[in-house]
Amino acid sequence: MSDELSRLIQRVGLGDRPAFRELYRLTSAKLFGVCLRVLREKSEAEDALQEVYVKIWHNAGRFAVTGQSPVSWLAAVARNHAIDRIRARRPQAVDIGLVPEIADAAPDPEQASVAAGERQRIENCLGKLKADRAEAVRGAYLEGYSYQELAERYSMPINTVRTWLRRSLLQLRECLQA
Amino acid sequence: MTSAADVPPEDDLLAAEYALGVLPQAERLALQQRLATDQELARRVWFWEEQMAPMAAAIAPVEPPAALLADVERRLFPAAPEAAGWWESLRFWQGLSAALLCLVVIAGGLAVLVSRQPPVGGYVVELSSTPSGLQLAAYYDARSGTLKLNRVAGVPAAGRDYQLWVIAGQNPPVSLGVLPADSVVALKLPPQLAAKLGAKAVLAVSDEPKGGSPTGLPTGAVLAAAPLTAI
Repeated sequence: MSDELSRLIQRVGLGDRPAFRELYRLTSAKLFGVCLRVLREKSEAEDALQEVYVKIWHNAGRFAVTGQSPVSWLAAVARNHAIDRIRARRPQAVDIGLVPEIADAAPDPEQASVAAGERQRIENCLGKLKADRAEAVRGAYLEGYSYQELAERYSMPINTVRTWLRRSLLQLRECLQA
Repeated sequence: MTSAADVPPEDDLLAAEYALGVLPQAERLALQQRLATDQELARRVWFWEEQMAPMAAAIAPVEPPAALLADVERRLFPAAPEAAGWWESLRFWQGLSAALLCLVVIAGGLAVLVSRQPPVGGYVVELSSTPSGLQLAAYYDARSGTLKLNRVAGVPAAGRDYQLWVIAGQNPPVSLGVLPADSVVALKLPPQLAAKLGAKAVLAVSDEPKGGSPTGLPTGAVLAAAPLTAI
């Protein structure tokens, strides 16, 4: 799956439209899930997903230099765009308590097996953090929480949250690079 | 992948915060500007994105609306001829053509073609299309790289041509050229095309402007498609 995605992204980088269509077929549900999770609004997530695939088409030629796995690269394109949108749209935090929860589903088996090793690594390292700090990192990644939203969520001054999240990131780095 | 030691410690933290998405908007925009020119900083962002991406496994896939891909393609390829749906129609025709193969008593041209050929290293396919009336039998001799075509019935509309394609696996169709006007022809395929024909390859015919598709991919209706069968 991963090799196939790499090949498809490289072909998209060469302007191969059928490859683009196939890449979309294989990855759009996952990336729509990512956009929906951060943006929490269907119509906005749909607009975002369009932009994401326009970016994928234009930036696919640069995929190889990132040294990333295709799944990571695609997830980063989608997340970065969704975060850009939500920060531009919502400089003020929404009331996190009112945000509807979107249920998690188990990842599909193929993806699970590809990602299992990597996932274990980040999960192991998150597991070494204090529970609330690991939860903050996950919340920021999955829900797109800003420092301001994390501060409201944990009832802490924003600078305090930033200090402890940065400390968590340093610990993570040490663990990930060990 | 560069290590954290290659950038100032503050930059590595900014890269991590950017990848995580927590930076306040002004800092986020400032960092994006730097990323355009600062390769080492970009490498640290890629490192962090790569490390964090497995967390996305917890996000459930959600099917986007069916029309979304067409919207994206309209934005990306506004002037392109309408190629949408070729694969869908191909699938349809594959199914139909396979069904026809079971029903049609293969007679005439195909039988003649086959009987003249050694039975090893050969493939046959029959392509039929009800709306256009096209009936095409093909025999491919893998050893000589020769594709023999017998158009039993069907001619393209005025100003149109029928174009023959080969599809190997998941790859995009590759043109084998416009069908010549003669009903029986033998095409000697260059090695790079010959390599694409074989078991599981699919032959397809599409309706194209005179002279063939301007894009290198099917632009008109796919009239018929069927897999090669080894004989």
